[in-house]
Amino acid sequence: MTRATRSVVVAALGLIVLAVAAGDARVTLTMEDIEGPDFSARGVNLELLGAELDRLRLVVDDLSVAGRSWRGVRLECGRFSLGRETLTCGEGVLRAPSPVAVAFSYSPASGRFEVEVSPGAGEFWRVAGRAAGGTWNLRASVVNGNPTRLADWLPAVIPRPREGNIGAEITASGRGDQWSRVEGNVEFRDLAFSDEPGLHAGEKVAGRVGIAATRSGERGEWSADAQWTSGEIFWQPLYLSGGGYRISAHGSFAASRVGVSAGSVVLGSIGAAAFSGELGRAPWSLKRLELRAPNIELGPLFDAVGRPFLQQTALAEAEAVGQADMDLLYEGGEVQTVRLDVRRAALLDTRERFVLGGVEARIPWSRHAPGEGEIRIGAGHLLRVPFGPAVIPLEIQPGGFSVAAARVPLLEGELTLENFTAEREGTGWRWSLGGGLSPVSMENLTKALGIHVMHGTLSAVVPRVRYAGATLEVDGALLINAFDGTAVISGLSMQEPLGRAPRLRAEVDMRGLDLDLLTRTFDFGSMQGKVDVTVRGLELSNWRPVALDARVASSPGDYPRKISQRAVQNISALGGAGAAAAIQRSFIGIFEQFGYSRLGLSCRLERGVCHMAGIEDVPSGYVIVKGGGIPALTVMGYNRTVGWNELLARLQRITQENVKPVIK
Amino acid sequence: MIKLFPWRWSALVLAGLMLVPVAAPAADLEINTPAINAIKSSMQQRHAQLAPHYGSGAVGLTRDGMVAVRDANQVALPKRAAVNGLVAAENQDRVALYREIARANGHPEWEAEIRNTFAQRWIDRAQAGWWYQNPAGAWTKK
Repeated sequence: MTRATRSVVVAALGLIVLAVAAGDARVTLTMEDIEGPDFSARGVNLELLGAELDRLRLVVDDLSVAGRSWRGVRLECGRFSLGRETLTCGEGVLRAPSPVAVAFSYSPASGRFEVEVSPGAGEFWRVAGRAAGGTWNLRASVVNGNPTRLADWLPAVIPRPREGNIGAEITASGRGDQWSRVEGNVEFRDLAFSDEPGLHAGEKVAGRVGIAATRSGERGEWSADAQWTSGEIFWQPLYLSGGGYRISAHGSFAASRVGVSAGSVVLGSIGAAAFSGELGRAPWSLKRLELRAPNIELGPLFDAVGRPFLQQTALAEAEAVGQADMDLLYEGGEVQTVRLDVRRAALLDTRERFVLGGVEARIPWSRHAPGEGEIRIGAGHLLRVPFGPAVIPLEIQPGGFSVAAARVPLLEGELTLENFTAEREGTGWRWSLGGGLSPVSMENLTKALGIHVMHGTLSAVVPRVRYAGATLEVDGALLINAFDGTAVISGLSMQEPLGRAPRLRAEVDMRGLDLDLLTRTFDFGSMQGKVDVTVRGLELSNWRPVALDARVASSPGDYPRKISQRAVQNISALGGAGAAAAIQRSFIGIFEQFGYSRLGLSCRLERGVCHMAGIEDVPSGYVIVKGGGIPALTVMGYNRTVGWNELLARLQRITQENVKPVIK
Repeated sequence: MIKLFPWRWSALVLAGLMLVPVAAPAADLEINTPAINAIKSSMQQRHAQLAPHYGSGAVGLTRDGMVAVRDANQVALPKRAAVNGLVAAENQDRVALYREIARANGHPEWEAEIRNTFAQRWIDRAQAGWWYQNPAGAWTKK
């Protein structure tokens, strides 16, 4: 402080003019330029006026303090005195340019000074202190302070205060330009703040910040305690309201670092955490952080921190319950270890699409060494299909994790997972797995899913599935047993399976599907026999076909081939109500079932149009069902092209114009 | 396939998005795939939620064919996270839309050109009072 004062005086160039008129006196001091650290004043004109020289007028053309500048600053003291021991200014008004009430006094002998500024009604900013013999102390207080007055003085990274009320008491002492002790308490209420784009903002925020620090040389001790008691804060992407948050810490500091020997943070209903660590200074950086958070409540944590990151995903409408212990060590610019223990947890979708209950997890992760963890699931359901309980052993590596084998009961069967590995790749993940599904009743599965009840069993063998770069690929073939036949899906790949426009490509070969199970499933009327389904070049975009070359045909071999009257009527109904009615009236109405020799239908889908064919072409169209036995029954199709959407609509209605049975 | 300049597609898709009746697209012009239709439908549904934020200036149209939170101060604090979510979802759809139009027309390499063309068309069709980024990146009120 004394050094600064000295440098100001040295820089001053001045001219003093003393004028004495009758009954009046005037002292004018003119200075061209005053320079000091973080301070400059140009065009300084100081006048003492009045018969007793008891009024002061100070004009500064250009004033700059700590990077801020003002033009045409005026200070007028209506009651000024310059005594032997004290300089005082009362009834002062500072215009820079808006007027602010100001009063100050300074005693060079004792070094005492006091400044009071009152920029608004009932609002006071005071600094008082003493500087003598190289030591100094000061006390600053703010009563009903308007925090917007600080806006221009805050570092650019701090959101600007917009409104509010602050009160503060701060004391400090030191020697020369070194402080040795600081203690302060700041209370704020109705505080609103925001950065320019409004992504870090608060409203009606109330709380308190207390700090204390002592220093000797470059080293010292500090403590701080901050409470947020009410209001709401949006700190992108988090929104927190209601307060109940508190952070306290103490530690030591040196020229290059600030240490936190013990800290605690209370996060409302989420829980509390203890921490310690170290910050580097110049530039500020986090050197080390050790965090221990026992008994964290997962519900409030998920609401406050999880869901904002999961908007537009299936988890956006989920709720979590349970507790967790979390430990974390950050050092050397990277997270070194994380330990997460989850207890009695559950995740449930408010739209009841999934539930995961009775979750216990132990997940230790270290950057340096592999570890072993475990996830236990009590029970759950996905799309109303129940699964669990399951124990999933985890092998956790620095860059990912793997599961050698896990079994998850699903209905009366079992889903097996083998050689699952997942590793970080850039900002995403790459993973692969194998596994399968042991037989489950299609009836139970479809009932649980709430779709058409199907019969038979479903089982699957999943060879290697790999996911990387937003593309999922299946090595080898996926084997599914359903409707007493087999389905082999090969060449399966999916691009962006979780994206906005997922694409799937595959080849499908189904052999020996039981028509009886199939037709019962879709309530089509009974058919007996077996069919093969071949789909080449299947391409789905957003889960809807955009290209395929599909063929359904009777399987080769010797097996009963029967078609019920109702199935005939339904197939016939594809030809329209008129055709169905014609059959009803015909003699076949008295038979329950009929024989057939072959059936087949194909569709080559290109650009939204299905090019259709049957088992053989005839001049007028194509044969879909070729009769066998007596009476013989033939169903023919005439329409060789039909729009895909139209075809789906027709199938839904079980009507199709231009396809009508011909009774022979 | 008939090669058309991308701006003609963008006009058609934009018209579709803004529910303006248009004639059926020309033969072989693929803007009607299931994926594109799904994206358009998703964007149309979201548009009703985004429109007030375009109007208030909270959200603006960027020069690269996306949307961005321009001034969140226009939105009440508890709703700012939701606006962020809307913007993120809209941008996912927009990226997917440009890619799908390029793919559907057999020219994935046109994606950048399609995006640039759309960027200008979105701005051209923006309502008065909405905010957009000019070519230098500065926010401008239409």
